[in-house]
Amino acid sequence: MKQTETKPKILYVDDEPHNITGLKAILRKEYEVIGCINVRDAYTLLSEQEFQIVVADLKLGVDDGVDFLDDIRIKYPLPVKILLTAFFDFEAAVKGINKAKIFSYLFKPLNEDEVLSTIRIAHEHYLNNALLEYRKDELEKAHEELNRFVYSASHDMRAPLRSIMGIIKVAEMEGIDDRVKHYFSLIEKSVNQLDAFNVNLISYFKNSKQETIIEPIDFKEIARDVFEQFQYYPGAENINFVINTNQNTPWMGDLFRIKIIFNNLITNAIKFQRSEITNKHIIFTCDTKDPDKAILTFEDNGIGIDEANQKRIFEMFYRATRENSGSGIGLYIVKEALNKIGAQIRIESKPNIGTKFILEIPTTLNIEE
Amino acid sequence: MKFLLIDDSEIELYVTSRLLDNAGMSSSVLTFLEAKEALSHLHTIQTEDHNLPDVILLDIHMPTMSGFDFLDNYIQSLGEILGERISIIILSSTADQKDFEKAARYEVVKGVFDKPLDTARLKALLEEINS
Repeated sequence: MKQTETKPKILYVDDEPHNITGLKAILRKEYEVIGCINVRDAYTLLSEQEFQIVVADLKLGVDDGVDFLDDIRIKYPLPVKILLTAFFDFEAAVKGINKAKIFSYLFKPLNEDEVLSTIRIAHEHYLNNALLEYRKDELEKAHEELNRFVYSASHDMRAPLRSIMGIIKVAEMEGIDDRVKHYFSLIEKSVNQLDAFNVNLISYFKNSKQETIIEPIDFKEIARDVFEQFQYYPGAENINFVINTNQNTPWMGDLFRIKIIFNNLITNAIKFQRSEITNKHIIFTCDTKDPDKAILTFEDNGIGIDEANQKRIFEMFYRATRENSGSGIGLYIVKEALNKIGAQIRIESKPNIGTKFILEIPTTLNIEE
Repeated sequence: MKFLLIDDSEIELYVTSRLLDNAGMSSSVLTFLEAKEALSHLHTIQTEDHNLPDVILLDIHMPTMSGFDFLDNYIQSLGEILGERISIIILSSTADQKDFEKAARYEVVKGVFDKPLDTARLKALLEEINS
């Protein structure tokens, strides 16, 4: 591509033609100034050409320069706006800065040095903004690509993982000697762990992408569904699952994220039981009396979490215990999902006594359309 | 019971066949790596009742003809004759809940299963369908 030296373009609106001639003369060497004497022509020019700087006189016949600059701000955010005025008008200055986001002022009569330095600074500002804008686009694109990559990689990983599980199942059924059987059970454990991690990754990326959809929510039903789904999980068979709720009307909320939260908290309560005790329980309570929020609690009498670890369990990949198959991403996902719906979480826990999570989820009845 | 398996992975076809055999559920298992071939096989035998499978286990994500494409074609061209005769079960490792929800909306689909096949659950489901 041939690189031609193009001068930055300035749109100058002033109802006095001799001012336009004057500014053109000052800036001729470095800039291309395109002038017009009314707002209507300025709109036309803006729609046809790209400008780096827009200079407008405060008084444009019946029109107001500040209003004009304010009006083009949304549609043309990049050009730097300069207001030209014969005297300092305090009200116009305030409005210009606060509302129209004017970058600087020029005063009449025009002083050559002042005009040149103001325009140079404005142009530099334009270039910085344009670069920032470009970098922002690039960054967003890279982020989106990374998300898509992880998401589709996790999806693709699942099929071979499930294959391995199938082969293990066949091998176990078809009779193998005890030692080999033991090895297979170890492989199975690892594969299950990898699969669970993978499913978590997928729900993490879904959480970050999915739009919020508000649906009627029955907390009791979600809790029961999740528990039923995991009741055959190793160690889940002897747990007494208690549901205590006063919800008798549908509660509106983000079902997708609430399910993610229930899934992780309930499976954690199942996973982190104390194997030696016989009265294992998980108690779920739900209180929707307050019209502004739902208060949920998930309580277990499992291994508990000591105080030092309580602060860190919501960190990504943080694991409070070596004892389990976790990858340390579950509660991080819970936290992310809670953030999306503006909810708070609190933890009360004592080692070898149990853990209680208390959630406050704000009601989303009046959603902005 | 006669099974027809459609999956683009040979390992999956082998594993599922073995699981069905070991569970003592199958009198015969016919496998297809391509949904298109399975469809044309069904066309050929559509009037031969003794050759028809009782159950089709169908994967979702497959190249050229996906499980959904298969279902659309099957319903259009064979639905009237075989719709009631054969139970179609989805067997997939998809991590996308939407795939399962979409599959469950097909009337010919009698169940959706995650891989590897839970034969006990399948047995219970088939007993329920046939009773």
